[in-house]
Amino acid sequence: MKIAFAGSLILVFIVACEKKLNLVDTNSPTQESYFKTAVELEKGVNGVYSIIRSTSLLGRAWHYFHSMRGGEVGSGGSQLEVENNELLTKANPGVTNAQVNNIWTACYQMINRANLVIAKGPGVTDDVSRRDRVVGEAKFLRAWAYYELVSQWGDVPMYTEPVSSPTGFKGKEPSANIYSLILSDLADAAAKLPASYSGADLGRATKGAANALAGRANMQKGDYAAAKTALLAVVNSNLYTLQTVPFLWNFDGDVKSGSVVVTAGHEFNSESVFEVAFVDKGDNGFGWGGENTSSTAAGSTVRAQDWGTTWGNVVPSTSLLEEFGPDPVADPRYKWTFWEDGDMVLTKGGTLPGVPLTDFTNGTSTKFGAAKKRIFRKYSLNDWVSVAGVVTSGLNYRLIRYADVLLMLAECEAEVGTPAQAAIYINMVRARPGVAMPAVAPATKNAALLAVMHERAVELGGECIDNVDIIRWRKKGYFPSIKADPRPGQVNELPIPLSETSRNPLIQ
Amino acid sequence: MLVAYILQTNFKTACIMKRKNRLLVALTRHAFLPAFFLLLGFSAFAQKTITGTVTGPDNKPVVGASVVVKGTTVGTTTNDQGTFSIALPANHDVLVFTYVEYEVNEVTVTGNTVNVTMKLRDVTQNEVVVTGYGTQRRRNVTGAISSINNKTLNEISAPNLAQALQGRMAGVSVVNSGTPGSQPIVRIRGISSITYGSDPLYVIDGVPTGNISNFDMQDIETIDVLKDASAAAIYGSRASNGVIMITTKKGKRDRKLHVGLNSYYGVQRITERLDLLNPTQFDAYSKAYNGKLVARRDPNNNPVWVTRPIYTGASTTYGNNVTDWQDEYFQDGPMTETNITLSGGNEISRFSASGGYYKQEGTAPNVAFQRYNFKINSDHIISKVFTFGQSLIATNSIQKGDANAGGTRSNLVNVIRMMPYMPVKDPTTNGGYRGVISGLDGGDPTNPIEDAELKNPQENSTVKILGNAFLEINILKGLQFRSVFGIDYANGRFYRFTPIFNDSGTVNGAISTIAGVTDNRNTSTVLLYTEQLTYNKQFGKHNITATGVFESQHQKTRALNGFGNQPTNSLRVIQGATNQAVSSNYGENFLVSLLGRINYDYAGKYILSAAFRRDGLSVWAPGKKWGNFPSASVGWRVDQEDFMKNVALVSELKLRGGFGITGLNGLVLGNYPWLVNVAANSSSYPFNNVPSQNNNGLGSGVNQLGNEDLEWETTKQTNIGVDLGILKNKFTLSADYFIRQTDNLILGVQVPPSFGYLNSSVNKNVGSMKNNGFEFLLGYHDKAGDFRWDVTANASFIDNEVLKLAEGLNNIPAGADAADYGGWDVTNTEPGRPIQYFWGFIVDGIFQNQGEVDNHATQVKDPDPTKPQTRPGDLIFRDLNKDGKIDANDRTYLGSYLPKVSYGFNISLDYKGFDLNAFFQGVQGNKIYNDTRVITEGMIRFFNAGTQVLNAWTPTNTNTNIPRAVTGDPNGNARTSTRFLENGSYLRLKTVSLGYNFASAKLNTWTKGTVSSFRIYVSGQNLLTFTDYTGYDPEVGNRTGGSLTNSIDWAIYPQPKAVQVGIQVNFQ
Repeated sequence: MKIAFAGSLILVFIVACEKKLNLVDTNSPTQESYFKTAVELEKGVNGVYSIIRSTSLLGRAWHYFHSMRGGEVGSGGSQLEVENNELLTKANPGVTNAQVNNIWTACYQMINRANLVIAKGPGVTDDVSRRDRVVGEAKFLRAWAYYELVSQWGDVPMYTEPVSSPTGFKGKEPSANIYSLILSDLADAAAKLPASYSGADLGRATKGAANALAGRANMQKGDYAAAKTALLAVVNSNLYTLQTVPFLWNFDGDVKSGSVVVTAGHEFNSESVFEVAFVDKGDNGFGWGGENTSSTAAGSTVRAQDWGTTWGNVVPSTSLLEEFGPDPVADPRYKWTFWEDGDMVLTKGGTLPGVPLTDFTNGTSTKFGAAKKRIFRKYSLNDWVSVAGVVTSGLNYRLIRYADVLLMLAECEAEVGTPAQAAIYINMVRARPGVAMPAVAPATKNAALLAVMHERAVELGGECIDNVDIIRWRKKGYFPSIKADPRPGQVNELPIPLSETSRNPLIQ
Repeated sequence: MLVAYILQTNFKTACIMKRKNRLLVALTRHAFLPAFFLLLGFSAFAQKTITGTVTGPDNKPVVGASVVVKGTTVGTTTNDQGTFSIALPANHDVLVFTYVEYEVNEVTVTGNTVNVTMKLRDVTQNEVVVTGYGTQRRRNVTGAISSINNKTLNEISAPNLAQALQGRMAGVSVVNSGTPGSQPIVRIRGISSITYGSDPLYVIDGVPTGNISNFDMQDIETIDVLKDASAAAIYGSRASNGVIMITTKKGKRDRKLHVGLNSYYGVQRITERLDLLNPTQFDAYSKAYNGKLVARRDPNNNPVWVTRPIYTGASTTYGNNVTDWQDEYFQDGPMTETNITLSGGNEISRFSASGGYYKQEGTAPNVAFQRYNFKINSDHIISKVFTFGQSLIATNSIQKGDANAGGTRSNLVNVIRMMPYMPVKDPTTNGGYRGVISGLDGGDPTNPIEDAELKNPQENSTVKILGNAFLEINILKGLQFRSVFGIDYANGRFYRFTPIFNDSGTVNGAISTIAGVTDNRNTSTVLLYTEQLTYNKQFGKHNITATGVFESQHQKTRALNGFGNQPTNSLRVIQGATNQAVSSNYGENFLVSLLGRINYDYAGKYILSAAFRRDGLSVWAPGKKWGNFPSASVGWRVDQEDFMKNVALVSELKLRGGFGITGLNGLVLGNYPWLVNVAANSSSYPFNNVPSQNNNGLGSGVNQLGNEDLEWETTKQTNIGVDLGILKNKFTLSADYFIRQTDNLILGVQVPPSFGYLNSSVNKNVGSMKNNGFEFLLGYHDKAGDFRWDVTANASFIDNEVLKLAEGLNNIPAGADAADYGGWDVTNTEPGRPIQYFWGFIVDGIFQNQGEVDNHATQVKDPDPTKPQTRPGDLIFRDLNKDGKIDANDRTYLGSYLPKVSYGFNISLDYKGFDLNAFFQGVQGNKIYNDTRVITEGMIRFFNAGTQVLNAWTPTNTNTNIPRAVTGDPNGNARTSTRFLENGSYLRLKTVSLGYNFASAKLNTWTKGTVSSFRIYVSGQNLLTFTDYTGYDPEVGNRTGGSLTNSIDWAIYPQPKAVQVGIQVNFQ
């Protein structure tokens, strides 16, 4: 009897204890309770930006991915890592290439996070104007990520909502549908985004950025008329100019030496259409791989290190050097694009005599048969701070600048058969104060295209843009009809990484 | 109603926690007092004096036997002549005689003299094993339980428990890590989980606990390993990987105070060395690989470095400096341990107390482990109804380590890669070490000694308190209630200081301009309540023991992590630091269980045992929280049958069989594995170029997919066994066959990167796996005069097969490491094959000429025919699917890391005072993927390398198995293939010890009765290894901790050889 009583007591307490089994994580908000306000939604889109500046994209991998695939760099020596060397030397990289995998993975991370913001948007009603702007930013960033994917891989999986099930696989979507999504996203973004920001929001996507990217996407898709319309919207906004921005200001950043500001006003200048912001962590530690989830660390970039003197991974390619013509080079942009052995550095923007740049460790590059040590000056710090050891920096990276917009417009004009119009835009770039190169006057479509090709090389060389240009021009058959293919035999569309095909049963 | 009241108060305590059980609290408070009472002695009024003599089976007097009046505290011991004199109180007439080796003897007094002859205790008949929530005589055990006793533990002086277990039990596999203070990998009957470590459950004196490296071996009396499900299922949802039951030493009820001292000192050393290039050979390799010398060594380089001193003021130059990085890195590691035990007891109370100190320096810089530990346990028979006991273990351990030790580019990788002409130190740099300049030196290794000593020192210190108190109530004859309250408290601190330094190098991490302080705290408190009713009854020849248990276990963890930067190396705290970051988190889990067990036997011949446990665990999603874990087993003691009684040859024969279902401890998945919350403010973006914590740039996101359907992995296990003893157990054999099938395997299924989650892994119940095996333990025990020997041998043969994986998931590749090892997966897991088999290409030699290249399948697609990727001197990979190209589809099964046989054998010899113990352990028929050779001879990138690269193929050196030396490895010669797969079999003299026991009688005389025994010994570990494996050590651990990368040798620390000298002294 006593035992039976004890037994029934046990049952009673089992039931009481059952409640204690319902424990939930109280360390962070639940998915149901969050993304209810415009401020929370804005944090959602900030999370998308945080990936674009991560190691897997603009912090490091993106530079390698595009320039190794493009035609403007050569190997600086045996220290070029395996995956980069493969992209540089092979026309068709393997499916396990780590750098290719970085871009693929990070772009989809941006897309999934942007999808969450877009999906949660309608439920946010406390601040409709902020909400709409945030959704516009998310659409811009999603479009940028899909543009990176479709321009490099062609047909890729398309997700427009956050994936909610471990079996929510998508197969390849025809690239035309990807472009449609990109363009509708950008149209929506252009409608929702402000023309410009000030103060604490500097760096967010603008209407101009959305239009410029729409221009780029349309060109890559082959619709030059639509591209022209979008790009003209940028020009006609009258917000952007080359007149007040020295060429070098696009690449030398707002440099600090210790805590002393050396330059100011170079970033978010009036030529900048969209730039990715970095702030140097200050500890010369890059935070390899981990910084895209860190809430407190500022994000540094190692572009200056990778392309710089001490690691010697990358040197200019012969074809890019020769695009400027034989010595002495008339175009002042040559000296602004490259450092050569013996050039004066640490001039602090020309205010000091400086010291000669010698004894750096890169391999040589060859220009018209002459071997010499050269590195890219763009995004280097050598003129401002003494460079020794590892150089992380807070140099913002210009993804779209106005000179590029003008040259894209020039290409559109050439494509739609108005070479004279093309010349106008090319000459706007050439006439920038300080550059002041003589005007060109191409008479034919091909001449105009050649002029565009030349101008893009000398203006944008080293900015990791020529990869998509080459793909676009190769598809149009311009190699070799207009110019020799800088990367003969190269595949236009990359194989989908093994990490995807081995886990996604719909893509084999 | 008393029972009900006590049950009620206890259950309320268990569930509500706020109300304390007053009785328990009161008893706990007084727990220590009885231990001291016994030192005071006991007295009683004499009524009648009894004298007598105690003799042993050999008719010699027994000195120091305990004589106690039953039911009282009155007692004495026999003197040097074996005689005693005791006052017998009124109304008492029974004397109890006890002595260590003899059976307890109760004698009813009739006259004034009692002479007693003691009988040797039959150890095998009365040997007790701990089975969880009770004990059982070994002869009645029907499950597979292996035990190791105190004597063996004493002889081997292993620094931790798992090392003591290694190779001594059939079916228990242990792989040690060479790092002091880190947990070895313990597997019972193979690997049962794909994604999660298959660690067994450790239970110390009835209280489950986690990390056991904090536990002093000297405090252990016995270890019992519950291997099969019928034995382990009593621990239900946590028992899939077996249960290791640890029983600590208790006082003896012999009315004496025992004081013991154990102390040893030893040293560890790593003697294995790889053949690495010296500076001259390095130059030759550089010419072959790069076509030129590295700038630092090239006399024609401008400027010239080779004639410069290695630093200003140094006497050697880059041309003549030689550094042997292995010798610089490996160092001797001294180790010492001292433990003092005090124990005693009488028929009412007994206690055991100890204090210990352990210190071990690593065989690499800045690696060390240090521990202080204290223990006291006692129990007290308060009355015929109540017994109370307690146990308290407190430890403080400090583990010093190297944050980079387990990284991809581990220190050993850098030891191999560092240029042999580079100096370790450079007094002219800030910090005193020296780094390479990749442009001058050709590669970017980091200085491994700088990494270990300057950049990466870290310290983990833990204070752990493990305590429990129990009350036993004998309610009725045969009905006993036992209530246990236990606590497992751990307080950890992690500290790391990263200094400001500049090693004048250029590789990543060569300079730090700001110091960093990391200071993390975490506490874990586990409260355990066990309420247990046991009922014992005999009806004629029927014996029944029934047990019912209610148990709850509640864990709360809190962590506080702090970080800050300091502008100088002299400030090593976070106060006043910049970039201060602090975060805290909280975790909680709750396990509630109800279990019942019945043990039944008929006449000691036919044995039946059945148990059922129902567990509720908070970590699962609602609706998935409860699981049922039944088990049953039967045994037949054939030797007890009449027809066997006359068979003198067979002294023991038992057949056993059992079946049970167990689960994987859900806590290994974390507290809320099914639930994914928003990672709020977990990312950032510096809008307006302002560091994000100072602006509106904090970002939130959802970083992973959740899964509400997640539930326990369950293992069904069948076991059939036989125990055989021949010639009075001179020969013993124990053999078991088992089949273990794990269903509902939880895999961290990798979702495609296109899903876009930062953490691409989702926990799902998918797949199943089977382990079946045969294991046996053979023993031979004999003596001839003063010579006694024991030989035991064990072996286990386990087959593993993955039966099923998730729908849509064909295989799980693992082990790829793009940065340094070429990027190909090393293992694969798929149905029909053993888990994580080695997966890669088959090498068919080396192309000797262009014709052979042209005639073979295309190995690497050549976009530019003028720059072919594959050339003579490259490896030939077999085109398995005959499609004319070598690609991912040409990978195949290369071998398994699982040994066909794991075995151990132990030889103990005793001759007069000498004892010798030699223990060999080995594995046979397993493969190791020697990824270290990708570093020494893979030639993917240029670094220092092994001397093998000098034998690389050239048109004039064609008789070689090393492919050509070429920048960037265009043919992928270093891809996962048979090239680096090696036989992992080894036989190792794991421990050997030689001791001498000074004769106790003489000692007694010499020390005037102070010292009762004195043993001095010398022992060694890992002194001999027989293997064909070419890496540092065939005992390869697991760098990543996951289940799918075992036996991939990414330059993992080797096991050191060790020698100790020690003493074991007992005082009384």
